[in-house]
Amino acid sequence: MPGVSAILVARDGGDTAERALDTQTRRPDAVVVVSAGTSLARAVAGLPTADGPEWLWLLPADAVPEPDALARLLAAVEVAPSVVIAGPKLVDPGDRALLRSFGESVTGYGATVGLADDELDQSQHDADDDVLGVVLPGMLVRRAMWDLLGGPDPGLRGSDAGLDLSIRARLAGGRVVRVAGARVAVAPSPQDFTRRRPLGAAAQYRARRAAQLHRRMAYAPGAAVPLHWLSLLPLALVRSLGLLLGKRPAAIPGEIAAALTAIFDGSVAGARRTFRRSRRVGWTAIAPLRIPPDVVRERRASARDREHARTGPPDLVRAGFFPGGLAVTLVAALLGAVLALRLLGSTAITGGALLPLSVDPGTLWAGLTGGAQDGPVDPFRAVLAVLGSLTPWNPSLALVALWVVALPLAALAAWWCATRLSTRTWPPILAAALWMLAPSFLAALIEGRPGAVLAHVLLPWLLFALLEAPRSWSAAGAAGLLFAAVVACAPVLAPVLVAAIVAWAVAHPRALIRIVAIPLPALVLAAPLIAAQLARGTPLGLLADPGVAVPSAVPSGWQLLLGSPSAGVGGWTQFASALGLPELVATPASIALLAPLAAVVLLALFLPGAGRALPATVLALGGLLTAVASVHLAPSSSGGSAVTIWAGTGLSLYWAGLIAAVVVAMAALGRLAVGVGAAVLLSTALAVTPSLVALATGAGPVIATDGRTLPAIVAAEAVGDPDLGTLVLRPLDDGSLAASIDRGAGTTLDEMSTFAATRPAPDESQRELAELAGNLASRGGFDPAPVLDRLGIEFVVLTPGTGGDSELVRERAAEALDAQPALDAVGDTGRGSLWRYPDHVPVAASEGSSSLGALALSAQAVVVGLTVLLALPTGRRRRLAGPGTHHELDDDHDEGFDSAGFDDDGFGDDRG
Amino acid sequence: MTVADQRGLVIGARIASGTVAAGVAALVIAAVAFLPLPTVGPEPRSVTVEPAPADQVRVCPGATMRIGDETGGSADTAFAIGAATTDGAVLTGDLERTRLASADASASPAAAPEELRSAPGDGALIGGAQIQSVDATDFRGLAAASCAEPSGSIWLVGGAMTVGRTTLLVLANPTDVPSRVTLEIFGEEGPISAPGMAGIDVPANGQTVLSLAGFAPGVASPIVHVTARGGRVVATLQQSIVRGLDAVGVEATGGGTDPAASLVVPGVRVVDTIGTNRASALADWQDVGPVIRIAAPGDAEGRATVRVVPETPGSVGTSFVLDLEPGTVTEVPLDSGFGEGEVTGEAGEETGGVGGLAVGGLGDGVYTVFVDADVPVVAGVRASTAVDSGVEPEPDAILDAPDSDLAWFAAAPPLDGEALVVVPDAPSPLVSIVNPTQGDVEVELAPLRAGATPILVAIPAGGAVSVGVEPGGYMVSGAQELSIAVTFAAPGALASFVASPARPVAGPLVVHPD
Repeated sequence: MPGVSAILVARDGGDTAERALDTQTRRPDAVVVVSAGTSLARAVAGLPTADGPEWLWLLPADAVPEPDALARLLAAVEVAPSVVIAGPKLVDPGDRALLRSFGESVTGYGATVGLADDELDQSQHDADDDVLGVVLPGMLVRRAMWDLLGGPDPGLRGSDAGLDLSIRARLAGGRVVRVAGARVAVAPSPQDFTRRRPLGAAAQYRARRAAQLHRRMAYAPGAAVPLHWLSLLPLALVRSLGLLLGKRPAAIPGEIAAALTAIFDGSVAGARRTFRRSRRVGWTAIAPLRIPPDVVRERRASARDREHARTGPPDLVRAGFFPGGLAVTLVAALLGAVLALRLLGSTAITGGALLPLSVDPGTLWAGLTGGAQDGPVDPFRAVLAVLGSLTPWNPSLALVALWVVALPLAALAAWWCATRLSTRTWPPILAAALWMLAPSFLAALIEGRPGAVLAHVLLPWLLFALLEAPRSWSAAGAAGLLFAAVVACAPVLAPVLVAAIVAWAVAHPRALIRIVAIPLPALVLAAPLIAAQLARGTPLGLLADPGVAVPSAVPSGWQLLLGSPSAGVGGWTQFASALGLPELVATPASIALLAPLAAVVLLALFLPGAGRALPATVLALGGLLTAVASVHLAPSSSGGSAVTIWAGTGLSLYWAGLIAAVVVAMAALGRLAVGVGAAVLLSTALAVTPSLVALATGAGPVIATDGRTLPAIVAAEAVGDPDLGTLVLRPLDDGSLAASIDRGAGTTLDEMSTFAATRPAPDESQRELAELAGNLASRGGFDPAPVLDRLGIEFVVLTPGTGGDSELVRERAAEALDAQPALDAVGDTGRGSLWRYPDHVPVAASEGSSSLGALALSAQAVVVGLTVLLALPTGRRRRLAGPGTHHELDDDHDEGFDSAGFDDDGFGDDRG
Repeated sequence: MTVADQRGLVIGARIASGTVAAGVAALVIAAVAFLPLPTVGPEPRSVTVEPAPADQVRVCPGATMRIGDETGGSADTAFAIGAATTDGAVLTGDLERTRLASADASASPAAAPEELRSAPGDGALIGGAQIQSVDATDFRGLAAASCAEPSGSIWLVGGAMTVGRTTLLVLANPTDVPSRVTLEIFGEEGPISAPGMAGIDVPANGQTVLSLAGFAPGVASPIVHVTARGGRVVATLQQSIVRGLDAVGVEATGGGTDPAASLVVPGVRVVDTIGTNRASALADWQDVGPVIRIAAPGDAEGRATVRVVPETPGSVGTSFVLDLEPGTVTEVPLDSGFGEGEVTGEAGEETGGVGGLAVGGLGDGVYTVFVDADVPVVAGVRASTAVDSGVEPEPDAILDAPDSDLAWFAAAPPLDGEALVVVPDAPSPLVSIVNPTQGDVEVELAPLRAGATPILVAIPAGGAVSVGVEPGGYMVSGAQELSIAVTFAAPGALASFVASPARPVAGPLVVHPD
């Protein structure tokens, strides 16, 4: 009988193996206990060599070998002298039919594959006993071979130690078998049994990956080692992107850490020496035991199928898009087209806070680098760049299209979001209709506020993604992007949305980090602006609406409560006077018509489901308070008027909360829902009728235009001189003069800067501009030529007066400009009187962006790009649960990540 | 606990939480609706710009001009007659004198309009005047003009386009940009419109001469409003009279006061009353009596009171009331007040005809004409001199014409304290100072030439004083709200011009840079 020494590796609180050894039918001749964390090789080296045992049996101290386990293992090795390593069936202690590990192999690229991990034992593997490797726990290994190989590679701590030992044994000419009859019950993840403590999920990933890289470096032919070494970091970055796409961002630190470990892995040299010393046969000898690529794919597919089968169909039943969602979207599309009839066919729109966009996407995107003059760019500029790129041949057309399809977009978004709150057909339809009829949304369309329109369209998607975020990395990524977009369009929403996100994260502590990280992309996008505003001491400026700063009449508290962001009570004031009614009826009419909506919201607080209606009303409250704060904050100014933040975006959130409460109430109202909902819808539609009429008749400032903001001659001149400056002088009603410099063919919407609009006091360049404007508008001895040269100004436009004292100022300025020897009068154009500075010399390209700016921009691009990767839905993996240990890592409903899935990096062929 | 109990508990909790929520909502609604909140934010950006002061510029109109040469040829071309003598002065700094391009390309440099320029600065005063005694074919008389500040709006009262009377509009543009001039002409029949009255080009640093007869032929009492876009201009009316074959009068009239409810015409010199009285009996000599020409250029009709106040105590003044049609020029003899309390403005060529009776009312002397109206008006006074031939002519007899000249006395704008008055070398210069204010004023005239003693003049409230002075520059101080004219008179020579305050520099302007 060959001598057998059992090596027990003891961890805290496990001595089952020692007792089990006593019950073995073939008891080991000696038992050596080592504590986890010490070197096995050293423990074995301490055994006597001459008279020592012929076989070593490695066991975790908390394992439970079945009584005949050792006997069967020995039986298997005794009949085949070439066998140097034998491994038992490792099974779950609770369920002996569940395999933990039964043989391992590697793919063509060297990734470890458990041949039977976590499978049910149906004797399906029993016939096939030759394997590439087995894990260390339970391994019976010939002492001579152990000594030849030098024991387990010290560079492999736990993961892959058994596999590596087996591979080296095979390359030394031995055989490795698994013994179906021998069964040892072990705790989960037996691979790291030599460690003091079991590893967490992320650490396991890291350990597995580090072990794979270590083996790669150890096995590779000498010439290939530097190549492998150089590839480590790039490969880790590429694989990190893959992990992001695979919705496993938590594994990325492990991936990077594993690569860094491998880069500074000092044990590789020793491992390579040991490997060379013991090697007898070539890699081709074990090639048949590796997993061929088609089998790898097959195994991966079947693993996915198993997960599908395990998690079953999605747990949430949604209302179908057909016919309800489709119908409401089509109705919205029709309504939107009718309301925007006068804009159809135009190439650009202007008016209110609208301006055309730059003429080509290249300019739009190049603008993100910003200029030194206007400070950091607004994140809104990135939103406009994306929007304008949708119609690359004419970016301004995208704004026209937005105005035409805004209603169906809003309806669709609201319908989709509402399906998360109600599984029935009617409430989402009601929500969609109410959302597109929101007074603040219609006001934004009438007044020409692109930021508010975009925010209203995106807000339901953001809420939808937020609701999904605790379940899915993909949704969290999408929420991050949508949050960035919404906050870029309406910075004033940031405080209340961040508060909502924090509350939502606290409510889902398991996904805390993931939800709390949602504002991150927005923060990175706004970081330069935040830093600059804080440095300037104007933090309030961060809340300023992006785009053109347009002063607006401030609505009263009552009007805000009625959802109206403008002083006209949703157009009722004008409507009433048009109908010959006293204006005083406006507010009562609006109150009466919105009363059913308010009543249902109130009802929702008492009906079943009040638990969900309550957060909805709190959200509405947050929106309302944001709106109230908006009208009392005037961070920017334009033409001498303080510009308050537009209340409409806060009111959109207010309206969203109200609609959510209505949807919740609908669920509780049962059969009454349709009737009540129809009443709410009808009265709300009546309440906003004046706004719809105003929108259709073009009562607001939004008009179709040819995309030019300056006289045609300036635009023509700017073709060859894109930095051409035009001084625009606007006489104001109070007898003062507003002055600004347009570059190129005119200032476009994407060129607007809140940093410039929120300047608390004129700076040096503005003083220079003011001096120039004031002197050009006055007869005197001022010689404008040096300033005109320095500012690169060729044209001066004096816009028509708007009444009041503006006519006087205009007269004074026109007379002075006429008398200015440095200027030639060009004449009157539709956009004002024009003068030309004939001595203008085109200035060479304007100042480039700083390297710091470029750095910030690339950092922003990286963060947004990574978020996009994270947000991209990756097919049907989406609602799958990960296997076993991935649970903790990925949360229960998230997509499973097949650890082998990203091993096909094509760079790690260890055969050389 | 039964199921019913549990349901009751749940419903009870819902009612409780719902009530609390509704209460909070009500509180919020009340707060939003009624709580007054302050608005927070930085002040709108603005910069108050003080425009840089410009050089002080005065332009003297230059030599007397004629359209067409002496033989009547080249009827579209302007020719200069001789040259005017220009005197200029500054209080501090250097006086830069340059010549503009004359409308007569062949004229000598001395005939061209002269530009006086001095750098801006505190107390920088500039003044100048020119005088020309003309004796040429069809032109004989004395013409004086102040060197005026270029302006975008000039009111000229004077001239006539009846037979024998030639009126030229002389426009000088001292700026570096061309000027586009628009004319408004009012006549006794109302406003006159004719082609070419808009868009008249005056070249940069150049001069343009036009004949008013081209726009308003036959009009006896024109009043011209010149507006200029682009470069500002100095406008002068030049009138010459040929009675029969005799050239008897040349006058240059500069801009007077803009339309105002109260006007002052200082230093109206009535001389040779016997001679003019006698001459007025001659054919085509009816317009030698002093007249006032007045118009309300606005849209409203009005009523003006004209007071003719003699400077010399004991002399007889007069006053009368005129009804004014909007846009229509009224011209009546200055002595209309004698005999009739009120004269209705039946202006026209016949007006001079009744003068024979009336002229006897005003004796020789210096008069001040005050006009007070209920609408803005413009006005000027014309007077003539004619050497007394000593014989009573037969009515309508054609005799040797006496030496004669005319002068237009413009309404003088109120001064703003200090002024630099230049008196050119011409016969019998008088500086007439009118004090239309409520208090007595003492004015100092300090000659600029070294060693001269300042002249102190006390002027009672509502009164006027004329001072005979040596030619030269005078620094006038203490002349707040006062009006000053400089006049010359000699047998067969009469001329005048008024002192004008410097135009206010462009005021500060609030600019909002964006």
